Amino acid sequence: MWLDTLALMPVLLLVVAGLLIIVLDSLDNDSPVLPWVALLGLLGALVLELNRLGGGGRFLFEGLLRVGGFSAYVNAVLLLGGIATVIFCRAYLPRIWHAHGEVYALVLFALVGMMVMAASYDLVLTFLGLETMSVALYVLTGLAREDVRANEAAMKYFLLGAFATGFVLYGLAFLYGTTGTTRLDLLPTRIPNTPLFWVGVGLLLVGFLFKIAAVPFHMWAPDAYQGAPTPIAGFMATASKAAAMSALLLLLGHGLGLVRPQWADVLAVVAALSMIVGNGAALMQGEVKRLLAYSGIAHVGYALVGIASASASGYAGALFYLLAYASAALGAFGVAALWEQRPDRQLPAEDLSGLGRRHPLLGALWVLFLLSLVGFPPLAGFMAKYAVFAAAVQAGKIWLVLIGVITSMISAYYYLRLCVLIWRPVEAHPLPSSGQLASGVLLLTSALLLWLGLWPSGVLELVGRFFEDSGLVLR
Amino acid sequence: MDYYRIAFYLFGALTVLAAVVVVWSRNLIHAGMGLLLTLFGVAGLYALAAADFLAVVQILVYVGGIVILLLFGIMLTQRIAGRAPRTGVVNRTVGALIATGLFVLFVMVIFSARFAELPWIAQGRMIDRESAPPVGSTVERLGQLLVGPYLLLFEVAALVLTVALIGAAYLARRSRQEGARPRRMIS
Amino acid sequence: MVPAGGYLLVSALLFSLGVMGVLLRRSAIVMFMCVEMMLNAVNLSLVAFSRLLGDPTGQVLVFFVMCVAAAEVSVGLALVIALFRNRESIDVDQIRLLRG
Repeated sequence: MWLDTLALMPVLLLVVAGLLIIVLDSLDNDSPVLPWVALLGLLGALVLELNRLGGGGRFLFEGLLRVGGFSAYVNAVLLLGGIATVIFCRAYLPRIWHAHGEVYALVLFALVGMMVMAASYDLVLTFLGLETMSVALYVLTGLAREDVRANEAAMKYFLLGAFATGFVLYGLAFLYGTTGTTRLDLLPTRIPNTPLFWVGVGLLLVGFLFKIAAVPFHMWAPDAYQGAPTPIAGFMATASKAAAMSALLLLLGHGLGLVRPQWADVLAVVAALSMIVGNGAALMQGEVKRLLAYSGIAHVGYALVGIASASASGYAGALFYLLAYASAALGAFGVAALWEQRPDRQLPAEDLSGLGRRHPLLGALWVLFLLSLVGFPPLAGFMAKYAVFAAAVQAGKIWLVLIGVITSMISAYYYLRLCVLIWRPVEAHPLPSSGQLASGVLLLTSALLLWLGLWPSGVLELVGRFFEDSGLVLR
Repeated sequence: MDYYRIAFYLFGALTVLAAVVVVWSRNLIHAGMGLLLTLFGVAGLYALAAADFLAVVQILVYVGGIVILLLFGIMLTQRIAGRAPRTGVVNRTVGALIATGLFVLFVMVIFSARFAELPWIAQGRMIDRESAPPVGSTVERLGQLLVGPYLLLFEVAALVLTVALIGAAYLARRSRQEGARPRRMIS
Repeated sequence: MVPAGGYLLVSALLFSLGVMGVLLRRSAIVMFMCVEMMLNAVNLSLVAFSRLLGDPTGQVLVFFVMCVAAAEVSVGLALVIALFRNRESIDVDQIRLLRG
């Protein structure tokens, strides 16, 4: 038991850092030390997770959860998102007068929930992790508590999120009732032949698809991102999606891995809809955060193509996609956070004009991030799309790949428009919020994008090792 | 007709009828009272289904805590003095159709699930009200489970509550510098 | 003895009424109430399944659902209060809940 607790050290580190922040915050309100405490905890956790990335997974607490391997990889992606978010928050929040200590504690606690989700082999634990993440994100969305727009965004996110929670739980109840267990490792041997079970699976899917903002359940995302502080929007777009996606992968790939044909087609339809609606709606957006929200919906669709392929290579592709998307989207949201200057926290696309001339390096990075989101060849986005599309072709879902390729080409239009916009010869304002650390993070994520794009085999081999050929997450 | 069956019908009817009041009443206070009765009815059903500890917790947490919190919320955000707090209804047909469709689906799958044929149910010991040990037994078993195999989940649940506490305190508090805008007068 | 089907039927009815309430009403507080009804419906079926299976795990699950419900309500009411302070109305029809 004690050894098992020790193996949870990365999560415990974050909990301790979060509680420490709350205590320090009450002693010295909104002290500038707090982001450093958060960063220290995050870096410590990241080192520990990277350390056990190569080794196989290990079950803890009699099979409740599993650390190392799959969960170490997802947790590393999540922690990367957390580190970037904390650093961007440190640069951004003082400018909107919201540099509260609570923000850092809530980001850490949300990460704890996400990391629990990525490691959990018990649906009840997954649910509790999901709720830890969601409750923290509801509050972070409404951070600008004096602004009606933020209130409304948080309210919408909260109401629809609580509604989705009801569906997750009812699905969980049906699953428990028909199989007598909530454990993912026991589920494969107990799948009953009753429609009640499948309705339960459907209800669970609705809840998870809501959390990753896949298409019929995406309507909260643009408003929530627009009302939230920009770095937090980046956090929601990357980390929370990665966590919910990996929990979905564990449920479908491991728990329901033996009945793949039953859910693969449903997921393929959701993926197709997400790619079409996400990219289509992004074409019409004039506000950058809204546009990135719709682009995020589309990217969820691409990652779901990997899961819908229902094969080991598809799952590995989806995991690779999560890292590639997270790096590019964190960078894009980071540049948006640094450049945004309006008091209502909006960033209309026209505001970007002149960015490139004023700050050529920042402009170049912005172009790099967007090109990776398009899936331009030497960058990570291209390799990620290639990985999921190849798996889909192997699985015989050519139509899905066709939709994916066509929507990618359409998406190039709005991404490239944003790329061109910043080089317009317009007199632009100086960078409102900046920081050595924030620029460092941007450089780091762009280096990651190049590395993943040029030498993807290392990471692809790593994520491939998590899955056996049968597709079950077993190693 | 045994007494358990009669009690079940009574509590079940109370639960459903009060829930109808919550959904249809245009008066917020009435809706709150309806919710109170619904939760009370559910507590009764728990007691009938051999979950005596949960029945007590249901009364304490839901009826005693959550409903009171909701009523405070209603009173804090409505001007009770002038008129009764009323609220409207939107998207009538779509919402009703979705909910009715879901209900029909649930009923169909529940009655087509032949539970007795599921092996782990056949193996499982049926706890009947008659054969179950007297009140207090589920407390002990639940307690052992919570600090035994479910200890980790218990800790995560504690974290959820901590996050909610921090978040609710942050959101509901008036800020000094950022809330510099003048408070609007209530007309 | 009442068979588990009876409890599940009440639970399904309660859940559907909750869904209907969330979709029909526009007051945020009534929507919270309806979400609470949905969670109670879940708990009721968990208790019924727990009895059916002869397995106390279902009741432990109910315990966690109650914790989460309490957490959600407190954050939700804090949001209601923040919204009301800035707008003096908690009707959500202006928020365009189901549109992107």
